This record gives sequence, C-alpha cells and structure tokens, in this order.
Amino acid sequence: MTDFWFSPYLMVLALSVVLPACSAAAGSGAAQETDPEAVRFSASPNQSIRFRVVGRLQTDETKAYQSALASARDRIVLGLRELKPHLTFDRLTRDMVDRFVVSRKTHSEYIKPPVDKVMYATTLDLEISKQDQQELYKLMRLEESQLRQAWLVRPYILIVVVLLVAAAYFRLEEKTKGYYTYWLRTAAVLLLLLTLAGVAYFSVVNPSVIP
Amino acid sequence: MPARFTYKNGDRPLDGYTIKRGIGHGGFGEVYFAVSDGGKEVALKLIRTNVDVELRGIQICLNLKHHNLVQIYDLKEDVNGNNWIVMEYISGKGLNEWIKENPRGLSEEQVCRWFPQMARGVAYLHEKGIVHRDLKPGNVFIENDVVKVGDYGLCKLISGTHQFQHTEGIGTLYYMAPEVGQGVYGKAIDIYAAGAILYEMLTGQVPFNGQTPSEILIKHQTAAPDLSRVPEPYRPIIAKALHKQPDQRYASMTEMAEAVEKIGGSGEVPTVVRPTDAISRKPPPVVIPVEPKTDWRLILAESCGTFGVAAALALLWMVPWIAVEHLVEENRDIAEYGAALFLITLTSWSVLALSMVWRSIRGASPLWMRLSYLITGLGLGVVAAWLRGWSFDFYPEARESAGIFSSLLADLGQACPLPGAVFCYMTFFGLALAIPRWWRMTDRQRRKRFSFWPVVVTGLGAALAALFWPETSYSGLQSWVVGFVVLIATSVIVQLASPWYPPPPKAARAPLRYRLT
Repeated sequence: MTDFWFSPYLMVLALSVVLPACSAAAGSGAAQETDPEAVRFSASPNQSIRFRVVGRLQTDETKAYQSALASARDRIVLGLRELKPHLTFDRLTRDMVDRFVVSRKTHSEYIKPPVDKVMYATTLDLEISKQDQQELYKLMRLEESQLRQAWLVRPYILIVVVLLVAAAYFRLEEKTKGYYTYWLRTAAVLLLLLTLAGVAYFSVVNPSVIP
Repeated sequence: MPARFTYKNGDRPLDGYTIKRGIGHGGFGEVYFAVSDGGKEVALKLIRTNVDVELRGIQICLNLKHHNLVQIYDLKEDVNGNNWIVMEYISGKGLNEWIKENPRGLSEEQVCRWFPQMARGVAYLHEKGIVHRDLKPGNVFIENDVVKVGDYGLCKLISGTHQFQHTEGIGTLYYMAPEVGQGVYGKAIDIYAAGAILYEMLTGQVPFNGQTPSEILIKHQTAAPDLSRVPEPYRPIIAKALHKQPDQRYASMTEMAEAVEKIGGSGEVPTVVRPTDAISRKPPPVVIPVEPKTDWRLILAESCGTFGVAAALALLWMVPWIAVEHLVEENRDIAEYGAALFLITLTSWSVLALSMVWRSIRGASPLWMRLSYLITGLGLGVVAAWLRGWSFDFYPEARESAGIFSSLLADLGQACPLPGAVFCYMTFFGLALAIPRWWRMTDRQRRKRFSFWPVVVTGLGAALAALFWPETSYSGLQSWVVGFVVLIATSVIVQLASPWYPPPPKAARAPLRYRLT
C-alpha cells in the first residue's frame, strides 16, 4: 500500500492534475497585466487620447498606484507597438506615464482568509495630449535611431580600420623600402582579423554591448 | 588598372640580389629596388622591350662617372635570358613631382641651384658624345639639393654619319625639339629640352601644350613660347634654348648652365659638382631613377589615409564635445552623439571624394562644382534623416517645426511623398554644402594646411541653413546645434585630412614681382 503512494504512476497522475491547475492560476493572474487593451494611437495626432486603467490589488496604496501606472504603461506600449512592432519602448518609464494621469481613485477591499487583509486597487484616468503623443513619437524615433546606428556601427568600424591599416601599410612599406614587407603584411592581416573578430563578438556573442 | 610587377618581395631573379619591392614601370619594362648579398642597395631594371636599343644605350653609358648622373653599375642576364641593368638606387623626388607640387613654378633660388646641375650632367654626356634624347623632368631626380639625370635607355652616340639619319620620333612630346620630326638628333635637342624644362620649372607649365600630339608638335615647329610668364632675366635664356633653328641655340649645355648661374648671383652654385671632383665628395644620397612616380600604391595609400584620417579625426572631435556636453547636461542621449559622429564622417568623406573627382577634371566650372556639392548635400540629408530615426512610411512629427522656414517646408513635405522632416534635412545639408567652397579647402596647393576663414564661412552657411533644421531635440541642447557642429567639424577635418603640398619658400613668389614690374 505504501508502495502505491510512492509509485511513479501516482506521482505522474498527481503532477498531471496539479501543474495545469497551477499554470492556469498563474495565467489568469498574469492575463490582467500582460494582455491589456492597447491604446489607439494615430500616426498624425489630432486629438487627445483618454483611457482608464485599474491596477491590481496590492497591500498598500503606493503599490496599488505603481501597479496602475505599470498597467497604463503596458497599454501605451502595446498601442505604440502597433505602429512600430520592432521597437521595445524601454525608455517609456512609469514616471513619464505619471505625467498623463488626470485623476486617480484608490479603493480598499477586505479579502477574506486565508489572505485576511485589506487590499488596495487604484483606478487611473489618463489623458495623452497631442504634445504628449509627439513626445512619445520622439522616444520612438530615438529608439529607431539608436537601432539604426547600432546596425551601422559595425560596417563603420570595419571600413575605418581597413582604411587606416591599408594607409599605414602602404606608407610604412614605402618608408622601409620593402625590408619589412613580410612583417608589415602579417601585422596588417592580424589587425584586420582582430577587428573582424571584435565586431563578430559584439554582433553575435555579446550583442548587448552595442546599445 | 595598375600593371603588376613580375617579381615580389624576397624573389631572387638575378643571382646575388634580393628584390625588396617594385618601384616603377615603363615602356622598357620594370624597375625594382633590390639589395645585394653584401647589403648594397641598387635599382634593378628589367628590360622587356626594345632590348637591343636599350642595351646599346646602356653599354655606351656603362662607364660614365658624373655626380649629376645616375650611375649604372652593370648589365646582367638571368637564368631565363632576361636582361637586367644594375644601377644606383636613388630615393628622392623627381623634378616632375616638384613641379607638380608647385604648379606656379619653383622658386628662382631652387631653379638656380638645380638647373645648372642638370645641365652639367647632360653636358658631361655631350662631352662623351652622347645625346640623352629623352630629357624631361621625370628623368631628373633631386635629393638634398643634388640633381641626378637618369634613364639612359634612349641615349645614342652622336655619329657624324648617323646623327641626321634617324627618322623615328623618340622622346617626350612636350620637350621634343622641332628638328626631331625630321630625324635630326644632335645635342641641340637636349638643349631645346633643357629650355623647355627651365620654362616649366619657372612657370609650372610646359611651353607648348595642346589637345592632341600633332597640335603640340606643330607648336614646337611654328609657335613662339609665351615668355610673359617667365621672370625677366630668364627670358633670353629660354628664348635662345627654344629657338627653332638648332644652330641658333646655345652651343653647349655648359654655356646654358653658366647663363643660369649668372642670374643666381655669384655664378657659383655650391652643389654643382664637376666630373673631376666627384670622387672627393661624399657618396650621393639616394634618389629613385624610375620613370613614372605616380605609383598606384601611393595613390591608394593617399586615398586610404585621407579617408581613414578623416574618420579618426571625426572620432577625436566627439571626445571634447561629449565631455563639454556632459558637464552641461548629464542625461544626453548616446543616439545624438552616434548620429553626429556618423554625419561628420559621411559629410567629410563626401566632400573629400568630390574634391578628388573635381581635382582630376581640369578647369571645372565652380557652378558645376557647387551643383555637385548641392546634390551630395541632398543625399546626405536623406541619410541624416534616416540616422535620426525618420521613416518614409511613418512621420508623425512631420509638421513639427522650430526653424523659421521649416514649418513651411514641413507642410510642403506633407503635400509631397517625402516626410517634412526629411525634406528639411535635405534642404539643410544641400544648402550647407553648396555655400562654402569646399574644393578650395581640399586643394593640394592651398596656402596653409588649415585656415580659419573657411571654417567661419562654413559656420555662417550652416547658421543660415539651420533655419531649415527640423526640431528634433531629444534632450538638452537645441537640435540644430548638432547640424551646425557637424558642418564646422567637417570644414576642420577636410582641411586637416586632405593632402597638402606646402608652397615653396618666400623666394618662390619672386616671379610675381617681375611680372608686376
């Protein structure tokens, strides 16, 4: 009998029931955060955008407010991503979203045991004016600009190094009248290989180094 | 396409000599710098064509010894049957390069120092009964003020029976005496060539130029040289040397050399060495006895160096800029600096590349040059807009403006397929590149390597063009300052990076004095 309780069959059975339940519970909680309704932005802003968000229940009012701001940020980012799906919008901070808040209301609610606590949730009314929308687009363009520069920096470095190495090689070869041609060529090839390896390292192995 | 050398570094085509590098090509074959097993630096000339003519000429000159002649050591044949000339290796600049670097002519002081030496070298050949027949600046080499006449490939012995019988035209057109066309090859043709060289040394121009070879030949036979450009004291010398009738020219090169020496002052030129005292002087410095010095490697080195240095200077420019701005504004975005660096580099490269193109076209109209810079500026504007994050498909900020006219342009941009901001950038860079005279900043013969005035003019142009800069400030500093600084940096960088030939010393301006009086 004891063997039954520790048998692998029962453990598999138990896991097959418990794990989906846990993931469903986790998923239902996360759904409120990660799948908000996107704010509708227009490429040519001509009016303010108003929307309301409700934060998650938190143990104090500050956390509740921060949760509401996070939710608002997620909705804004989602809206902006509809315009530029390849951008991350990491530059859009909660502080920036804070500027869009028109009104805030926090309500408390007693949660029965086993929680047995008073929890808070904040409702925010936000308004993104035309100017604020322009600011958001600037952030967007800044990120776009940075992405393009990060792409360009690799060929740029390669071209500059090739130019400098070639110039130095020809000048030195001329100066030394061919006495050190072999060593100069070796040094030039080594330098080019090193540069190539460096660029490859930052492009493939550790691309996060280049902003 | 540059011709390739048959042998490379380390090859030993000729027993006892190791090739270090190829140094020149010519109609005859190739010239290499080589080192003997004992360590003697020599020039090896591989004769590919006209072998008989070349060898005959060289054999005649083999035992000549004069301080103003490139010495020929030996004639050798390799295992493949190729003929090689072993000669003195000389690493100085050719007279043609000196003239190229001084397009308004050399200083009179230089002329008085160098020309007599060249003339003495040729006079020595004449004393030995040899006519050079291809005397030209490309065959005259100078280092440490010692002049050496080289290239004996076309030397011919003056023979009483044959000197008027050659019919083939040999030599370089610009220095070719009129009688050469009739097959006359007396020493007077060298005197004529020396007269043409003297003219070119003083003015930077050949006496007879033309669009076609026949035009030049006809001028040699019929036209009188324009002596108004030559300083007064030299006019009779050149007129006499370039006389159409060989018997009306100087009787000897020595006579011509003395005439030039007299103008120089005391008539004593310390660096002129007579054949008799050549041994007592210390060994000559090295000069390259090769024909064309416009080596593709040098051109490549110069181009790579120019563009590479421009990029390095752009990077260097960013260091103080970033430092200063961080003192003022700590949160400045890296994207601003990145865009500025790329724009400075690209603008500098564009200006330098265009200058190279226009340098190769003689007598180009400034209008066309400006137009080319304007078009390049428009292209740079598109690149600038792209670098600063603008897209053709999405431009919510198009109407935003800060400059006086940029709102108008932005509205125009709305009407046309271009985003307004892109339109503004194009206008900014187009104007800013069209206003300054970039070709002067990159001119090899500019008076100073770096002048402040062009930077001021560029700054004024950039300030004017800044009216069209679309407001895209991310943080702190006004965004148009970025464009302004990019152009200022470009005007500094192109001056520092582009090649520069320093003008001759002050005495070089003496010809102007003569002209005015």
